[in-house]
Amino acid sequence: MTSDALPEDEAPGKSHRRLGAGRSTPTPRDGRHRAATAERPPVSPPPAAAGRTLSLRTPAFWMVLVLVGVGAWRIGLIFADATRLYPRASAVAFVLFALYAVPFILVVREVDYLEREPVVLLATALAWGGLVATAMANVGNTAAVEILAKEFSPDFAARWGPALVGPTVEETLKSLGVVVIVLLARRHVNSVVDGFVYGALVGLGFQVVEDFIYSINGVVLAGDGDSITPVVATFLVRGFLGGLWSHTLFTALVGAGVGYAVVREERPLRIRVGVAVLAYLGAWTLHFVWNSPLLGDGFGIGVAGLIGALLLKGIPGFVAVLVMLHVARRHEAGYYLGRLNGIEPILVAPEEMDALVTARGRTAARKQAAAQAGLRADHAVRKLQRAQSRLAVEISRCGHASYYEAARNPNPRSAALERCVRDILSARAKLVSLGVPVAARYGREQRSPLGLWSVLLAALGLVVPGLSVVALLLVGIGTLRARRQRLSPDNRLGVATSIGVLATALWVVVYLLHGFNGG
Amino acid sequence: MRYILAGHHRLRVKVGIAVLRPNLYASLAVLAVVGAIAIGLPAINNALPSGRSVAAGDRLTVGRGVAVSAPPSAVLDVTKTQPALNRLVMSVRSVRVVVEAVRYDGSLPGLSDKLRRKIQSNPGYQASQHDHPTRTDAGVPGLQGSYSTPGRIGTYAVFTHDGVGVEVSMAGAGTDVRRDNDALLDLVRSVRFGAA
Repeated sequence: MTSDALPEDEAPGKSHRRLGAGRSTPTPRDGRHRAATAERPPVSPPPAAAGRTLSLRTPAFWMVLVLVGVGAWRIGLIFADATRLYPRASAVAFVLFALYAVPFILVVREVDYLEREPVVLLATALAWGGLVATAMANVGNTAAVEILAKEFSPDFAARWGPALVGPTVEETLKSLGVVVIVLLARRHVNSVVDGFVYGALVGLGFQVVEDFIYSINGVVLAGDGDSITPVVATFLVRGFLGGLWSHTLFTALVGAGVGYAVVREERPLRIRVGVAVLAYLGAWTLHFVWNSPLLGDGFGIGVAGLIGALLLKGIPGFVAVLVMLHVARRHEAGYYLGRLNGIEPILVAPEEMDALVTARGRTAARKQAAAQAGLRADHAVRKLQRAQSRLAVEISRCGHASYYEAARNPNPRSAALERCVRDILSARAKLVSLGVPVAARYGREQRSPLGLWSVLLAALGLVVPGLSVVALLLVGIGTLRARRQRLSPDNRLGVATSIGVLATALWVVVYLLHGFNGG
Repeated sequence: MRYILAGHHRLRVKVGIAVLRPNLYASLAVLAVVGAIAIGLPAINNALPSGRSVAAGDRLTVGRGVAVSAPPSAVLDVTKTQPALNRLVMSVRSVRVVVEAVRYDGSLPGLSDKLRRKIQSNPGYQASQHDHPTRTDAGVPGLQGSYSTPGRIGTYAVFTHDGVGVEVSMAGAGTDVRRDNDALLDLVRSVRFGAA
């Protein structure tokens, strides 16, 4: 349902939303509330007096320290060997995969927008994935594949080893990364989204270091000295053809399951453990399908078939995890932004609440402000949104349902609340001076035939080269038109952009690899 | 008063232990799983034999349609033989034999240079200056040379046919290489292309 389908008096900005009121767990948008059946909200914010993030007194801290040290030593040896033998290839691989991690980190930080996780825990998750899980998996994978070769045959091990051993050893080690975060700082795993974020970072660390090692293995196998060609080929294959539905996604799924088990304390233990185990099995299955030799011949119809097989193996899991994340984020947003119900519009205007819910909404509000008053307005809206989100989280930390309750009752977070309010007022004053009193996104959403056509062409572009570029052109035209009319762009343009960019990247990679293989 | 304070202290310690105990047990459980993967699996692997005896004359598939005949006393290394990489590894007493099939469209001397470079990239490995012509039983021409490693001597050979190159390298203790020289040279000559 789009906002222009709402009655006039229910359209965004016309009425004051009541988010998270009572015991229900509503979705945050106006007119889309859904009563929840849970007795407790799906989020458990940390207590007001949170204390240090990590405690030296917990045994888990020392265990992590030792394992990260061992992992760093083992991975360091691999890096040192690679750098000594193949300095140029190692440097290129290091730079490429370090840069490759940046967009993933930005996306994860965007997912983690409302209640930001402590940097030290995010770094620990990354280190577990990149150092502990990779180092141990390196040893465990080799041993397990060799056991398969001994017990069955080298052929069986070569064909099914990666599909059976990879998920079992790697998903187990990576899942432990999320468990370790819970052991280190359980109070910072407050929602399913938090589990997703930690899991994604464990997986990202693993993915980046593993890809580096694969690159160097490629250089060794090529037997062509310090050549960067195998590095670039590995980057294209593992980074693009398999990068989106790889370790980051798998472990994010497990993390979400662990997050559920930790947060939903009101549910029976068997249900919580069951959900975590199901998430693990889901990740295992996605990993198994991806590594399995099934459809390895691409339906026997050449490059298009291979691309089709890759998409068939990767996209269903990718979409399923994204849908799950979407639901979890809406629950989280509903909970936190519900604390802002009934607040003075000067602190959070109803239209701003609507924009705060999603990354798209926040970006649209910033762009709207930038279109009206330039980059300074964009910057001010960013600060305003950040402070409003912090305020929502601080209210929930006080254990109160609304800002006024929290402000009336002195508590350890009073100073933090005041700081948020000061930051909001400061950003608001700046916006008012720039002539943008409210940081809302565009008004009605544009509905245009371009939306439908661009999605169709982008989808066809997955199997027919060139169509995705046409789809992206249509997206550009549609977005420009919407801006001229001061409307939110058609939702379908966003979908078409995602599919179009993916399809274009896949075809570019295919052509580049074709070039590498001598035509 | 002192007794009361001491009692409080003991209580705090007890509460602290009670709080940390689950964390300790869970940490030990995590450590146990990591240990099972990083230490347990290699231990099981080491306990299992990696060699599988093959009868003399058995045809062993390398990959890319290439096959060789097993020499007497050959033991196939099932852990190092990697069909995905078109690589076969076996031992004849102390002599380790590696046969690899690669996609190759270049000349025979070029393939020989490539293998020599690969051999010499190992510390202490030294290949002979020149190689000499050889031929498989089926008549495919090739080049053969020798190399030495610390404490071992070896032979290498390359063949190319129909876009596929075959690299054979074998090295072991001097006494074993000399004793099994004929059998090893038979192995080199047994290389067959286009084996189904």
